[in-house]
Amino acid sequence: MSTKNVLLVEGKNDEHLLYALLEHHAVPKNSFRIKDKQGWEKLRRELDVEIDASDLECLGILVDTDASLNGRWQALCDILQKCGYTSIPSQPNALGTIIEQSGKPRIGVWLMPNNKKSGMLEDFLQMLIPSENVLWAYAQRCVEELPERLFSSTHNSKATTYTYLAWQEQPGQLFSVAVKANSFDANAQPAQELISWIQRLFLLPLL
Amino acid sequence: MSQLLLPSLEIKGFRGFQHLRIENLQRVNLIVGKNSVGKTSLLEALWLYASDWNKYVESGILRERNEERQAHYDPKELDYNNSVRHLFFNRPTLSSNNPLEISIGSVESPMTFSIDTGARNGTPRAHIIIPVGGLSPHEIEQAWDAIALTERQDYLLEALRIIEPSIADVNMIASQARGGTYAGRRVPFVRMNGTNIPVPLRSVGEGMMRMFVFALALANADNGFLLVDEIESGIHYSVQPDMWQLIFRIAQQLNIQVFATTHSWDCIEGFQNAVAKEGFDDGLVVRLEKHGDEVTSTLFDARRLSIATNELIEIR
Repeated sequence: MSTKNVLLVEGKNDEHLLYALLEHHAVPKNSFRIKDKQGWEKLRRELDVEIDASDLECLGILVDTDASLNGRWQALCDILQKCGYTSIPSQPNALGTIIEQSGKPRIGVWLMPNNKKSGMLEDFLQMLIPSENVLWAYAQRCVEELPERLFSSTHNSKATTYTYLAWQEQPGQLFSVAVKANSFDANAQPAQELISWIQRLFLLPLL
Repeated sequence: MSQLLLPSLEIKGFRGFQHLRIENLQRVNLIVGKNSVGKTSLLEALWLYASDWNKYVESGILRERNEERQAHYDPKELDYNNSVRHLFFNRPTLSSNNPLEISIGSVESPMTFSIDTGARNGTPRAHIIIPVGGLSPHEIEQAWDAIALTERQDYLLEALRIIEPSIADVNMIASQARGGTYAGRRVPFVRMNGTNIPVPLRSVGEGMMRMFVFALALANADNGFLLVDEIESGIHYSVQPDMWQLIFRIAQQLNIQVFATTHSWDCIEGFQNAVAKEGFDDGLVVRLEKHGDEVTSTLFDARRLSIATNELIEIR
């Protein structure tokens, strides 16, 4: 497994979904390593050391932005600045940011769901569902009309996504399996953009 | 905790270092990096600094690398200038018309050296350098005599027992050699528990000899520097964590600043283990890297070392 190219993610779900998308787009699995950092806080605390790994050439960072895209972007920029990166763009690139600095590993940043709005992995998945999908529309309505709401509004898309997955041919599948079962469309534009960011970041041959 | 002799390090114009700056140093510093990146040069710079550019140290360094009195086409050129040029960045031609300077020391108060003025603003410190081959029999004798029958002799037993817990005692006894390096020299002997026969330390094992030399050097370097090249050589990885803990403890007790180089992953791991222990967090791994003509340093303090260990991040 390559340790020159590493992609940091927040959790197992991100990791498995990525593997499913990569497989669908025929990107070789071993061209980079996906490392589960077990949450944003740990990723943030340890990022400066990950960047200084001696054999590292290229490091991707794929994180949720939860309630604040700008907050998360700023937090990452602060760490990168301390690590000696001097030419960080003021705003994230909508197609995924890539930062180059001579003598340092190339850094990629993907802010879930699409580098433009705040959200998380489930908001990204939601963008892989065709708008005319009736089950998705119904799942949204169910969540909206719940008699009692135990989760915060940032978790709306999470609740809706799991509701939607509960009604598939195989109820309650993992995200990765659901991609293979076409419950999510791996060819949708947002998925293409994510894969393309990975290819540009790790200098993989374009397919 | 006493102030470190070198809280930071800046080297200008010495060997491969056009300008190397290490913002923060610690009490025990482990230098890592690929071959020919300048690990040994860094120790040489520290050695010259510690000795206030002592002439014997200088010629020792030049001799070690076969840089003394090189043949030259111009017979009028002084042998000395021709030899000492190897210590300057890019090995320039030195003359009084070309007053180049080497600067080594903390960022705040460096020592400078030029062939015209010699060393300036330096202060000699206690220092011992242990090259890959260890100390000479004469150096070992001298170091032993300086601490014999003092409490510091206990460090030696402690160090030896890390490898062989059944060591009962250690002493220096005249070698029976009739010729060679050891003729007429006293060499270390040990006695094992439950036996009555002194055994030459060297015959017990190379690792024992290294450990003895580390402890002996530390016991003699109070308020000064210990410099060790390739500290892992001869020491089995299983005893390295204990070796580091002993080095940290003596360095703290006697206010010594330690600089050691290594190639070995096991050695770094042993160091990381030691630094993770309570009271031993004053350790630092310094990775040197070459980018074209420039050498940069990346620092791993206790916090960063512990992350690297847990996350299996390669720091060599």
